[in-house]
Amino acid sequence: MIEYLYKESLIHRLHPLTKLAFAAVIMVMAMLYTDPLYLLGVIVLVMILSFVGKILRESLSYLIAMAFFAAIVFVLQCLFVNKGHVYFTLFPAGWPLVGGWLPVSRGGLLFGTAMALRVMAIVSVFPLIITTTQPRDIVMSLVETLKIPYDYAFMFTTALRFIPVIIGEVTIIYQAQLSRAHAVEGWNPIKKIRAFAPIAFPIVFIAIEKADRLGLSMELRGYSSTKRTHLRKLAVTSLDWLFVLFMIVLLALTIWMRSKGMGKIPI
Amino acid sequence: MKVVIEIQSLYYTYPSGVEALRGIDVTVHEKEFVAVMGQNGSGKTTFVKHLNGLLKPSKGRVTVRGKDTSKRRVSELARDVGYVFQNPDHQIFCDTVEAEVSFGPRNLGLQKREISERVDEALHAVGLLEYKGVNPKQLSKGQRQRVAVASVLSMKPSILIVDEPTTGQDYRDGIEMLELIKELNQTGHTILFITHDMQLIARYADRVIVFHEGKILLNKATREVFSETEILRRTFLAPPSISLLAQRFTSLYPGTVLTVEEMLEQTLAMIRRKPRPL
Repeated sequence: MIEYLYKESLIHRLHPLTKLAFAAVIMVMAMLYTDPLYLLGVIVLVMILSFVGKILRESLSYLIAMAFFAAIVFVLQCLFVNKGHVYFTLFPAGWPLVGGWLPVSRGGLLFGTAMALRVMAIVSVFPLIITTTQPRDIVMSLVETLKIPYDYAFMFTTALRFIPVIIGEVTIIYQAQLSRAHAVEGWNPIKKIRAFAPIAFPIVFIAIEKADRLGLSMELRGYSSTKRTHLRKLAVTSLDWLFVLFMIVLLALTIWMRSKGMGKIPI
Repeated sequence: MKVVIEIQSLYYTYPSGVEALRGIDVTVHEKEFVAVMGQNGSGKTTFVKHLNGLLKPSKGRVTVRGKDTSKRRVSELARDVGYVFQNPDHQIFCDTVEAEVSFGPRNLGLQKREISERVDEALHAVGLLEYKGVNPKQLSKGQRQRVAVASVLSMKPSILIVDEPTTGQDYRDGIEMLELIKELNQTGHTILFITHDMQLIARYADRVIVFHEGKILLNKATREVFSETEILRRTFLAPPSISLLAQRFTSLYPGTVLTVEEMLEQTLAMIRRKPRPL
């Protein structure tokens, strides 16, 4: 679970939109490069900025968690891309019918590595942005600058805010039912679904009740009665412009290198 | 008396790294009525969750009726230890009171006849027998709390844990709930209840365990605990006003007074004695 961490750093001081733009730049870079080394470079760049933002530990533990999905991508690409020297086949050549299927080739290994690193590069920016930006600031920047209706923005943040609350409630409900000798065991799918009811029903009721109360307290505090004003203004500072310049250089460099044929997978 | 719960140097650290319990030693005897109290975050709920195996010790040993809880499943320990959660809405999920109360016994794999007998027995104990076919959602909070108690009672646990049974209820509902628990205690159940209410403790508990920052600060008979005004103050707890009043007149009321009735009795006894000439 990644969430906002209060720290004093250059990254924390950036305007939310600058950070969102940076995420877009990283995604474009990850999509343009196909060479594993260059993609690794993108990840390293994000990690350096995580270090500047004092959240390197969070970024790394998030990457380790995501490595599982990257590994799946790697295995699939490995097996279904067949180019260059074949090291071995998953089904040995001697076997009847399936013999020689699913070859693992040099091209497959390289391509699998590249795809896995591309996934990692794209997801690596999420903790950098989430942990350094307050959710309400993200919302405010979207509403103020991109003119997204506040209702949608509010819905979005409230949904995010509710996730840990609901997880907490589910834990209590689960423990309460366990205490009544409720057991979710075995592999019978019908039994499994029925075992779900004692947890699902209370959480639905509690969630509806919470939503109801939230709606009421929003109304009581004058939600949508007039045009909203903001207590705090998000300022665009020279640090933001410096960062924008940095992003333009990065993008230009990437496009130039790709036009010269650099950063392409050596298959 | 027979020991039913034995806890030896229990430590518990949550996965988040919070050290909730730091060396707890407690023994509970059969048919005791124990109050567990302390500020929020003092470790009292973490402590009682060890008694039915919801939490397993990080260090130390918890033995319930001779069984080491770390080696037992919660569903197995549920036969011995009933746990009524604070908010009944965290457990009620059936359309009728009857179905709700029979959920536990069904999980224990009992026969139909036995289940319906136990449901009637449990509903009778909490005074909700005539609400058998009613949807629990239509009941009041106090009644739903009773349904929750009945749904645990129907499993016939010999030890009953009740987590803050009186929150969100008015004084009368609270007293009724405690009277019910007292009755269960008299019919042989060992009771542990968590509460902040000093008046209820004074009135019902035999013994009080006070938690403070993951350790046990006091573990004594109720009367002795309420004479430790200084230690209680450290945890922002105060004995009931009537005990404090009696403490002002120690010469008149030796020992600790727990309830208004007690003070009245002692006062009347004093008046009936021959008045000394001034």
